[in-house]
Amino acid sequence: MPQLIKEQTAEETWKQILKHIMKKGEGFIDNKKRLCKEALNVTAVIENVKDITKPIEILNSFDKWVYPPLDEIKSAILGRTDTSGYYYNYGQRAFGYNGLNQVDDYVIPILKKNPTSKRAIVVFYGPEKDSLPLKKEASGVVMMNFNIRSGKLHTTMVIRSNDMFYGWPGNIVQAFYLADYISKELNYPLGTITTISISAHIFEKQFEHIKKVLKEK
Amino acid sequence: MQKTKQQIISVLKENGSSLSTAEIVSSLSKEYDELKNKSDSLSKQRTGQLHRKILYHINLLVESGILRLEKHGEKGAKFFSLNLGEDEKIIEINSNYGKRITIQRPEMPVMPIEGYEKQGIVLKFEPNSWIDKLNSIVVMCNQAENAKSLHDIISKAFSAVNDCICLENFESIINKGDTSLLLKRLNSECEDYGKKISVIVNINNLKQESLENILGLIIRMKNIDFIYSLEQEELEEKFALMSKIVSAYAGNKRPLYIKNNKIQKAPYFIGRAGPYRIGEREWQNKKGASCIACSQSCIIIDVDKFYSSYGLDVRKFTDLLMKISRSFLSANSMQRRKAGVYFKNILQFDKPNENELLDLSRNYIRFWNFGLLQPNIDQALLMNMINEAKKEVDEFSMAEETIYNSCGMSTRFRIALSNASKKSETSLSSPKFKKIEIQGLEDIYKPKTRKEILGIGEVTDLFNGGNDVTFHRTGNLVVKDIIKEISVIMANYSLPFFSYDFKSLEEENATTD
Repeated sequence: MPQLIKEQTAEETWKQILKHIMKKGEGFIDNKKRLCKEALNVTAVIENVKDITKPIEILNSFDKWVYPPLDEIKSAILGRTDTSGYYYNYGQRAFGYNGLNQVDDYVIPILKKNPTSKRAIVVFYGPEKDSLPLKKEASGVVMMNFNIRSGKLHTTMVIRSNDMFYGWPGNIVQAFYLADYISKELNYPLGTITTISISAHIFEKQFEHIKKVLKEK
Repeated sequence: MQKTKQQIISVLKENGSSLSTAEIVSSLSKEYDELKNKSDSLSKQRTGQLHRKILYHINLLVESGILRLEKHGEKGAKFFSLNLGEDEKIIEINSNYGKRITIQRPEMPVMPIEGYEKQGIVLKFEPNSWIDKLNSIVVMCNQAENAKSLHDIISKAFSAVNDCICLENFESIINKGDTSLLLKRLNSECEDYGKKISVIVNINNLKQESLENILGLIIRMKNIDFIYSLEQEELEEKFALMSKIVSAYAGNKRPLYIKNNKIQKAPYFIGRAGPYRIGEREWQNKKGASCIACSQSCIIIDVDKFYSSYGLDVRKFTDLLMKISRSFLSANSMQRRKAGVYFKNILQFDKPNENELLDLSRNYIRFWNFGLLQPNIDQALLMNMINEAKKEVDEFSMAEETIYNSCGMSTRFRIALSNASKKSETSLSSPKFKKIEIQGLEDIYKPKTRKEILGIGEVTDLFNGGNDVTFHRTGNLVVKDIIKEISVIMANYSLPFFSYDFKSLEEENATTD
């Protein structure tokens, strides 16, 4: 069942997503034999992007793992080269995939010309690479869309497979960095950030940590 | 013409961001600046001419990679900027429009191991190139056309490696003809650059006479170690060749390295830091790259110094290993982002497989003087301590990979354990571990030796990054006996890699009786 979660802050949105999947998610075993809980088509709207990094701060407070630093997250989404250290690069796909600079050559000019355009889209998923049957690591973010409404730049990110505990906090920050880059070029303030997670899931190993985030016993 | 290009670059350097063609032309030509707002046809014609002239030079600079087209502005205006990476700056343009760039050394991030470093417990291997170089790489010789093309690859790889280059399937080059010149050049280049080369030769695929011709040279190469990869049965089948090899190594008191091909088909080799090993299962899934990184960064723990300060404490030892793991993570984060700059030479020759370079690589934690076979150290407690720490390190690595993957920064982060070589660092404590000495076949069957070898085997299973097991041969040199001993070791113990040290042999003439 599709679910809409709409909250003021990134932290509150994240907690509501986790609560929803913990309660309503259906159990299944993934291809790596991990037990997960999954909810399909979860749409989450963050109204105010001011404290967008708060979920990452909460994750880092566990002191059990090290979340990618913000400058690395930023360079992953805004970097233009195909860095061999990663299996794929969002930045390279946005700014130079198959020779196309989707952001500077299409999204920004389109919105400059027609601020109400519905074609301001950046596609990250490359079927010729990511849909190969034996491909292990494929782009999770399918596309991003930018809409100017009521004088603000609103961002939508579609994620085909979304680890809502570890992954989503990083995804919204990536969405923020790209939206921020575009908003500065267009001179519009940032509006909402919406994520549409087709498979929104959490893993059994994370349940204990999630309960701590939600302050549940 | 060259002057115009220099001027374009200067304008962009001064401005610091992207400029449109019109802005660049305006900065370079007073005439354009004066005419651009005039509406008469003559002025328009002239501004068009000036615009096209500058655009021609801009396009040449884009083609040569010095500028990049940043974006399209309103009315199709093009914006250009200098095409530089984070650590690059243009200091000279030569006549071919090439740029000379300088790459700054990365600043070492603050790491939670500095306290241990001050106590001499923890040492970074090659600290000056800890982030911007790989420890070791494997070059697939069977993908090189001949000795010359292999040399070209190795020459390029030298700049990206701070310890060892492994040449896998080197028999494919030996079988093609004389490799004396190549080996001499490589040995001398290793001396110049302070590197080691490990050469893996698969005995079964080798033309016997090709190796015999260069055997005399091989044992004189100070910086090149040959590793003979074979199965136990092949010792008998290739007895004549193996006799010559053993006789040459023992006679010259050079260490003889054997890889048991039945246990380990993937590369297993030796550098200054210690042994290197690539996981068997991962090797089977290797794709088409001709150059594969084996180790990214390495930290050596002088475990004896750790015991002196903290005792044989499982918790404290695990804490130390976890702090090292976190240090690797921040080092890898920097390395990953600039892999294209640091390893440019390797990536260039391995197109289109350049993204596979780090597919099998790991970071290495190496233990020195860790108490193996040391009388005053409880061996069961020692093994438990390393085992428990390894479990947490593995769990941490897996969690980090999951986190990176889940936020779309899919990458590899693995840590391997191995032993350290004394040669890796001069400040390491004096060796306290017991050497395994063998005088003859009977020694291998003695319960005491058997127990010791089995103990070493356990460590080898734990050290997924490789374990250098050395048998110190004493007594007389009888080649046939040594081959028999090697055969028994290969048949009875699950040691994927071991060496024979002949330094303690009595000075007598070798015999193949």
